Amino acid sequence: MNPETKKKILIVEDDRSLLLALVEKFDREGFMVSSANNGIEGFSSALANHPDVILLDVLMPEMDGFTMLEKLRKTDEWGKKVQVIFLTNITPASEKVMAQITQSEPAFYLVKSEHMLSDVVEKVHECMAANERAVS
Amino acid sequence: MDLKSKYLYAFQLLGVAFIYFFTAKLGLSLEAVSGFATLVWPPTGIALAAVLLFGYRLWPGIALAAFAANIVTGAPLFAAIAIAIGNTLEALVGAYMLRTFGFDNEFKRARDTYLYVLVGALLVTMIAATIGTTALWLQDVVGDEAYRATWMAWWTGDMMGALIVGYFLLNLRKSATLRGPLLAEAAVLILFFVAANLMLFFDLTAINTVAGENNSLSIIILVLLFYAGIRFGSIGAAWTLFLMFVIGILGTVAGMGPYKEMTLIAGLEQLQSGVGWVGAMILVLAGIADERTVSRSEAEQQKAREVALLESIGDGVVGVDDHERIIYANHAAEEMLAMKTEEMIGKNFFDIVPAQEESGQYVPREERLATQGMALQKSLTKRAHYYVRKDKTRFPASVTVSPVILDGKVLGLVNTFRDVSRETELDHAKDELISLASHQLRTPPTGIMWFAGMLLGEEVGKINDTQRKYLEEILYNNQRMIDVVNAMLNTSRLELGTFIPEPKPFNVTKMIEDVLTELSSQIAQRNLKIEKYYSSVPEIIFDPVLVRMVIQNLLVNAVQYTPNNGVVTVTTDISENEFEFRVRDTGMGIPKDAQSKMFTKMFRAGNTRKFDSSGSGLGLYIVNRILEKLGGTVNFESEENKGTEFAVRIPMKSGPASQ
Repeated sequence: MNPETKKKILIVEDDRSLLLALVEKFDREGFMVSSANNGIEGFSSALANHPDVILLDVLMPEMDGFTMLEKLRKTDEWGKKVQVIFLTNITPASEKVMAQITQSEPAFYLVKSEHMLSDVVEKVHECMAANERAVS
Repeated sequence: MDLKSKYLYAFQLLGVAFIYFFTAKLGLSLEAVSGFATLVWPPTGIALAAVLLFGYRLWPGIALAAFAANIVTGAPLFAAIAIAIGNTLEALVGAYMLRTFGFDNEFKRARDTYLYVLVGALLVTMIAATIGTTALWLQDVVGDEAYRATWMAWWTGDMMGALIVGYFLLNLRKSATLRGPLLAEAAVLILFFVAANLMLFFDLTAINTVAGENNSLSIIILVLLFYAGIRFGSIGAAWTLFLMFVIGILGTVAGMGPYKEMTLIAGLEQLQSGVGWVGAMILVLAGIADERTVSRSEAEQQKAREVALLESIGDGVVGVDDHERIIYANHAAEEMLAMKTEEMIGKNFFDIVPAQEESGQYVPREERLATQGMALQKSLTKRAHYYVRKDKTRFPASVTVSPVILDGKVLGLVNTFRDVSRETELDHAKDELISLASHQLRTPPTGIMWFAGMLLGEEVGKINDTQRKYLEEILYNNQRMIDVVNAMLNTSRLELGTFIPEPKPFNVTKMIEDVLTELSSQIAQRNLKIEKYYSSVPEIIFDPVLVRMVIQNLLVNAVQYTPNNGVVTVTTDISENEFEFRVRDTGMGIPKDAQSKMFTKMFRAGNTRKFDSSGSGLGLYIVNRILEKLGGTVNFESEENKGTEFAVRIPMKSGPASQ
């Protein structure tokens, strides 16, 4: 596959083992995968590579996922529109947290332990499709 | 008795004796009837007042003085002794009877005045009159025909003594309590009163004529007397009557005033009866006035106590009338709201104390607890709102409203609230801890799930059947762990009470559909048929997180415990009063002996364990607890191997369904 036509995905996750599973899976699925361990790395990687979709963990050191997305959304036109899927293990406890989340307009909010990797891949493909529609 | 008391006693005795003797001599010298029954007999009043004030032990002084006064005036020995006994008894019996009926020296209540008049002035004076007159009669000082006149004069003289002099003496101590403006007013009154009396009884103006005939001075005096009695109670009555009596006697004896045309005796009799009648009236008035003063001060004291009580309550208390206006705010409320009571009184409660949800959204009036409490006419408590201060800062408040109802009408509302920042902080801390714990506990199983999944999907190489089987077991166990962790975390949150229901309108049909979608693979796996009967109006207002958990638990159970090709029926029924959700399955059912324990923690019926050992036993416990929080109920009907139907009913929150 030609590098230019490969879809780009950024995976931001601080757990080494989970990150490994995600990276290997998406690589096998034919994505060009970049990864980051925390919000700060993720933020710079996103701006540098302009991935088509970002998989974003929430609980991370240095900067958490919510804050990173907020920042990203405020940065530029691309940052405002890029598709982001929250992939986390915390259940949003209260309405306040949910409000916070939806404010940043993620495409999905997935609880890791409830989804097989194939589910995640499916959701990513959905986001891609939405991207295509938006462009065309 | 120690030395000091002995001196006091001796002093009192001598004092009373001396005054008694002196005034007795004075009285006796005023043209007494039969030489001994005087129309003006202050000693009765002095003696009675002395015994009431200083005790029965003063009797020797009284007896001695009475004896001496009569002897010196020329009474026969026996008569003098008898008269002394009679006068002493008058004072002692009078005091005793008054005490028995609960008389108060301070004339605090109307009762005290009436007792004094009836017992002290009218009743016991008869004793002295009877003994005295009889003694003199026996000794032939008084003849048969003079007996009645003498007795009457004696009686009325003693009566007046008690009424005017005794009453005055007893009120002296009370008079000393007058202060400030009231004292000034009293002084002015007395001044005018004395002036008027001097004018009347000493002919100091040309206006007066014979007493009783269009005498404008008399009217003025009468008016002043009334004023004194009403305004100053027994103090006013005592002073005015006493002064009038004294000035009247002095004037009449000096041959002036309205009675100058009569003989001294006749004049004094007229004076006596005049003052007597007026005195009785004024005394009654004074009694009533005092009674009112006492009641009023008691009421004020009571009110002050109540206010102090309210003010000292640690919680904020705000009183609201039936037009939503604040009528009271206690100290704690002032502090918590950072406003003075004056700023709050009369203003609309909802304007002064706005409330916000946690999200910062203002709570509309219809959803305020105060509104609901007034409408439902019952006490309500809520912990979910924040009160907002004038400076826009806010604090979480635990609020209780209680409508004030009288005869079925709502007069207003009492709103009690407490700043629960501390508790909310703790709750948030607990929540954070649980969130963190849930995160940490789920991460490793997620890793296992993903890697085992990739192996199972043959993404990195083919696998044989046994490898497949083992990998499936790994996934299966892993899922059990995830399920238990989820269930335990939910239970903890319910137990800790950190779940504060936040009702929101939502579409319950959509929610059920979502849950069914999540379960779609299991449903497909078992080839289950799902029948749905949804209510046409799917919007309900409850805490969606909690309702979802209930629906999820029941549907998961239905799917899990129904063997292949079974049917699961889902029904919703939404009426004005109630939301009903039913799940029926054609599954293994619940054995009779297990039915009573279904909602307990960790319980799983025997037949489920054989079927599928992975359930946590917490699901129904959680459902039960959630229903408790929502104020609803959950029931089931079941027959082994036939099926089970669970029914959840939650009464609708009163209020509009949508904004």
